[in-house]
Amino acid sequence: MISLNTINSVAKYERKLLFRSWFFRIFAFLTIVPLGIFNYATAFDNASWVIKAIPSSIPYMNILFLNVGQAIIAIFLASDFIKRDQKLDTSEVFMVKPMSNLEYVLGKTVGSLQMFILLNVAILLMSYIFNSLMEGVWIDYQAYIFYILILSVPTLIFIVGLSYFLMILTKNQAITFVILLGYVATTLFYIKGKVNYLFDYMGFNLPLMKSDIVGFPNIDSIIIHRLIYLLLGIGLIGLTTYKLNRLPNKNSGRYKVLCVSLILVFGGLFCGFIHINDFNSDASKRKFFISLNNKYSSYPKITSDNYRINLKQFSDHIACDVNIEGKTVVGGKVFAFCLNPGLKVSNVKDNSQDLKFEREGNILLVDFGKEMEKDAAVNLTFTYEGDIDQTLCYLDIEKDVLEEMNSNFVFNIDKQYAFLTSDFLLLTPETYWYPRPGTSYSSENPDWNQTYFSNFEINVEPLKGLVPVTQGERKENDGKYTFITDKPLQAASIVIGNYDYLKTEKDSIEYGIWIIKGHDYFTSTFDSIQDTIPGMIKDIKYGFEWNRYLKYPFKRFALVEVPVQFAHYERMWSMAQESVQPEFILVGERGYDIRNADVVTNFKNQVKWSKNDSGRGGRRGRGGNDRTEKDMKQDVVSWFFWSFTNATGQMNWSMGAAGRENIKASTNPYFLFPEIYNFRVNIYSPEWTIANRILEQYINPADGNDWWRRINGLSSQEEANILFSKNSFRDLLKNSEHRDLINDIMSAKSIELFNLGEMEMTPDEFKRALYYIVEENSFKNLTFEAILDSLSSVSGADFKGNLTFWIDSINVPCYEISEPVTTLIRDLDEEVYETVIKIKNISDKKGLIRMNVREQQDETINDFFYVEPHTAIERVVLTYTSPRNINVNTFISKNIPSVSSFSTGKVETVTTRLPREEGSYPISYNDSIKDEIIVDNEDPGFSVSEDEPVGILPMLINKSAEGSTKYRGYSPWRPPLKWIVTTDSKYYGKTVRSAHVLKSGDGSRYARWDAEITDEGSYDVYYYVSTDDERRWNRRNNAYYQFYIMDVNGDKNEISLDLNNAEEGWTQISTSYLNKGKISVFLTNKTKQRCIVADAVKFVKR
Amino acid sequence: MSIIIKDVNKIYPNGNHALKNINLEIPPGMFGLLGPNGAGKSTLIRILVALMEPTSGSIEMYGCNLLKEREQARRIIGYLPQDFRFFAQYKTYEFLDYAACLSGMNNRKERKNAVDKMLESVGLYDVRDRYANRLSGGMKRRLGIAQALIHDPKVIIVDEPTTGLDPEERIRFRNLLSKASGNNVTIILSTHIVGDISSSCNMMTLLNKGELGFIGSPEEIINEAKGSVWRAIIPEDEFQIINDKFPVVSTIPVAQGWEIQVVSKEKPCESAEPYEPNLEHAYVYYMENKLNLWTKG
Repeated sequence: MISLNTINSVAKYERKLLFRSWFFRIFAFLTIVPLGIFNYATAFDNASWVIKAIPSSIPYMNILFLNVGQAIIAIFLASDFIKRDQKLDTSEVFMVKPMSNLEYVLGKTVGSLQMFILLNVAILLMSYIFNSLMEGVWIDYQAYIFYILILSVPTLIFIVGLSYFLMILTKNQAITFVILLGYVATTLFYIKGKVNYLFDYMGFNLPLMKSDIVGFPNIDSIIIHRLIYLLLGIGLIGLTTYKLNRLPNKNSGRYKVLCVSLILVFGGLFCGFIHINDFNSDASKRKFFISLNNKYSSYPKITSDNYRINLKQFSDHIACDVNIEGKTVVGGKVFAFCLNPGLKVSNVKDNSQDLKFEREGNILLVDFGKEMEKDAAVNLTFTYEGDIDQTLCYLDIEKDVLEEMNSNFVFNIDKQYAFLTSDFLLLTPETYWYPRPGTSYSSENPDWNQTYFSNFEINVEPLKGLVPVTQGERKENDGKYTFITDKPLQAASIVIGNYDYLKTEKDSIEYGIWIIKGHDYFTSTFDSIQDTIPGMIKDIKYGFEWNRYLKYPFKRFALVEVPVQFAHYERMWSMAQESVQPEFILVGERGYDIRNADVVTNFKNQVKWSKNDSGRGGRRGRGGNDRTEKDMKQDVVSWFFWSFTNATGQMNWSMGAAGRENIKASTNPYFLFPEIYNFRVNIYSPEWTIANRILEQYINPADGNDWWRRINGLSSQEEANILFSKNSFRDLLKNSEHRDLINDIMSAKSIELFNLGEMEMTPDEFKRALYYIVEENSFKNLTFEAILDSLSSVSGADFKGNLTFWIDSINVPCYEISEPVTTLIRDLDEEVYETVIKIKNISDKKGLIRMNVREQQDETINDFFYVEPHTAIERVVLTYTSPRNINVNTFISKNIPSVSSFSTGKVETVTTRLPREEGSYPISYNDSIKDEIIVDNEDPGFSVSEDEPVGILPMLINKSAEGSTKYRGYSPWRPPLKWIVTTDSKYYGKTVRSAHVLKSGDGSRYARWDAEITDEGSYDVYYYVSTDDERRWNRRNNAYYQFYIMDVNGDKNEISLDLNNAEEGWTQISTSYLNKGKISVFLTNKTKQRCIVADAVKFVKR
Repeated sequence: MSIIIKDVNKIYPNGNHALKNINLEIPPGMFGLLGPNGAGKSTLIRILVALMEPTSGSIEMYGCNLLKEREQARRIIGYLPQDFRFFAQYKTYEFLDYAACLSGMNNRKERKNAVDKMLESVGLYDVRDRYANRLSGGMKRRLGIAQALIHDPKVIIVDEPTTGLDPEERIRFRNLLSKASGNNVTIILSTHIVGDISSSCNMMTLLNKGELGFIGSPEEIINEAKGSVWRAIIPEDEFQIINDKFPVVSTIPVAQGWEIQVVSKEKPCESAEPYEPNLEHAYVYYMENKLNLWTKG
């Protein structure tokens, strides 16, 4: 028998030993202090909203960080115990005592674990104190216990067991350290969540965020995962006992320990098998569903004109009667429906007649018993009940995207597509919670995507105390609810939860928030502006509709709070995600992923900043002493609403090679656009599956994220353009690698397609024509081809004829663009401004260009024109006022930036001639651009001094270090230590407007431009000056660049350029007599500026 | 007999035959285990305290089979190893309490009393709260014997307990052992300091190269050496000749040259006079004449 007393005694003295060891004390100090600071900052500074929004995140965060530390420290301490016992005779006096080996090892283990758990408790106690001090932040007591049990305990037991065992095997502490620290580093930095988190023994990447609404929907898989390591850990501790260098009290006892240990180790491995098997079986089920969809996608199906759904909620399942009235789309006997495979159908009737049916996975085949004619009316009733099998969801989404971790701040969040618990239910159309005609995603037949508009009547009997939310007008009668839609929908969704409803009404639309009871953190702060909120909503709605020429079609709009784990994806055929449903948006708990949802803190910040500003005696920045509290509150609420009107969602920053920053933007899952477009328009094309997406992107183009350039070196649109130079549109659609650029890819191609129409009309007219067609066909099924036909008839452009080329062409054009020259042509009667720009197409591809000329009164002329391959033209645009600026958009081209912006330079006045006609004028291809000698940083004549070796630490700190592509972003506040090339419209470039950038220094490093002077004489030498943020915001007195010109004889002529007095663009730096031969201009890095920008040099003969 | 060792052999994996067919019966009381370095004393002791298994043979300890009933055997064994150090983090009291816990003294009150009593008896009560590694060498030894005695063992095995102690501590330690041996327990004292055995053991054995050479009382072995120990005062030039021929166990410089004590069956020189042997002389005599192992010089 094992003596608990003995174990306890050994544990007690092991605890003392650990508690008094400096190693443990230092670790405890290094854990408690930084986490204390972190908790303090979280509690009293502006913590990330997710921490405040999800109460479990505070214990989660603390234990997550602590766990990594203790997993490493435990290795040292555990292996030290074995080493200590091997080394000192002191242990021998204990080894001769009558306790068993198991009691001794268990006692040691328990003692160590108790100390670590004590540390965990201390950390959690500290975080609890801060948690309770945080205003408006709830405390999730369960989470405090859960994270210790699920994260810390299995981690510690496993690593202690593994350390013991390795130490016993190798008998060498150093080897044990190397192996185990290598293992920790590999799991932490390389393997991470791979293979469904199998190797993540620390649970660092495991999705463990606890929802305040449903807790852990993935608790089974979490427990299995943690059991892997718990059992392995205990098994290894047992094996250590077996291998312990001490004669056992009884030999038979030793073998018992071996047997039990092996059983535990195999138990752990078996849990690992279950874990992987679940994962693999999901993948094979998905394949199976897709194969079924492929098989049945061409089966006859019906339209669904009217749905009547009766749903009764149970704690772990639903029971439904669903009636569909519709018509057969084609004739046939057996018709296909799709219904979630977790739902078991008991009966199918046509009117009152029972029908035969078959289930195969998600497919429900209904046999009418006779041949049905096309357009025959059907009235089917399905009776079924069951749970939801989530593997049916998102069959179109690639495996790697599904497996991608859903992270927010340091938290990993599980991905659930449906919820069916006793507290909460959420079923979106993606789950196929009611039978829908046809199949779900088919990889072979796009017919599956054809949906129909239906009217819905949904009768819901929720569990007691819960409230259902779905589309349509809501009526309640004795705990039962009826919803009747007033607009037909393509699909319906349902949410049931313990909700409170906050609502207001404006212009016959009911606006509301369905918020889980107890989650209202904002109304008390915003009570005073309650009356003005409807007006604000109206303004935002109006602005949103006005920009897109489409009106919100429903009578209700609500935000519905759903669990944090609710996951959704952008689809290839639509930007609408499952988070946006007709009439409502499903928002994660307290809007945890919406920064502006932290309205209370935002308001406090406003007040604080305004006080600071008034203290400084004036209105500055975000504050201002003339702003009332009401103004500030309104601003805060407006920002929150704007979270739903921006297409771009979260920015994901990542570190690339050598610490280089990268940014990727995701689509805003809460973007309102589908409410005004997708839910009213049902565009379908069996041939063009992306038809809907193309129209979406055209109506709502990607913004190109030009500011990305500062981080990534290129805008997202240019990143997409680069892809087009090597891939056809069709290829890119197949490749999930570029999923993050899909909006830009789609946007570029939609603009390219509809430019055909814009050219024939004006962009505005063409868009109006398109919106008219969309508006006219609201809530009707419409084919893409029909839309193109309508647009062709309106504009005269041949869209359909261009589609094949549009999707399959690879090559993209490339242009050299001169700076525009504007001349005022004056005669007796009138003045006309003639703007001429020279453009040379140096590619094999004909290209379309749009020139926007913005006049003084903000009128903009959109001038479209083609440039044939290997030709050059002069494009002439006439305006009656002086142009303010001119943008040349080269669309999908090799030009970087794809939009070149020019401001109007000096305007000469001419009275001796008439203005030229507007249009294109061919010019000589070989001599089209000015006859100056220009050496750009992209030219072969440009070179830079070799980079000096840079230490690893500065390289890691400096974000602009080496990477895999040519262009880099940079910040003048942290300039690059090595030469980088960056792009911007403000730089000079024939096709690529770029410049080299380097941190300033002692003048030993330089950029060099070499030119061949063929005609001796006096030349004006120009440098292309651009203004970066440093000079824009911080104009130093000593902003000089140091140049020197070295002539063919090697003589140097030193030149200083005062940047403060230099014009942007070509600025003359010298006039020199240049002999025939090579001339070099050097720009040294000696300047008071933080960095030098090396762009282009021009020589103009006098 | 309290301990019966039968045909015990120990062969290490490297082939070293450390114990050769040991047969020994140890009665209650103090028992000395004497032998030079490498004789196999430590191996025998490690086997006796169940830290090591013999290759063959059997050991019975107060009626309990040491090889099969280790738990029971361990309950009656108290052990003080030669190189006895401490975990720096334990106080004197804690160390003893820990040892008591592991010996199966689960009742906290009884344990406390036993620990206090033991600390009193070894003279460490006043330093009970001092960290054990800050005790003096003698105190550490006393703490060592205290942990071995704390559970009233029947068999106490101490390995080289007085090495490095000053004479006062050595006497104190011997007295502790003698006191313990009065309770019908067996104390096995392994040492190469013959004085420890002569002053406290009633039985002893001489172990060399894994074999037992002598078993009996110290008096018996001393008796065997009677007539073979000589004392002489010799000049400097004669000293080297005698030293090369006989085991010289004592050399004291005097005005005439050297006063020496020599173990030899024959008279080593003219001036030599018979001398009353002690255990040290007997040990040397035995090694020289019975086992023929004395290394001259």
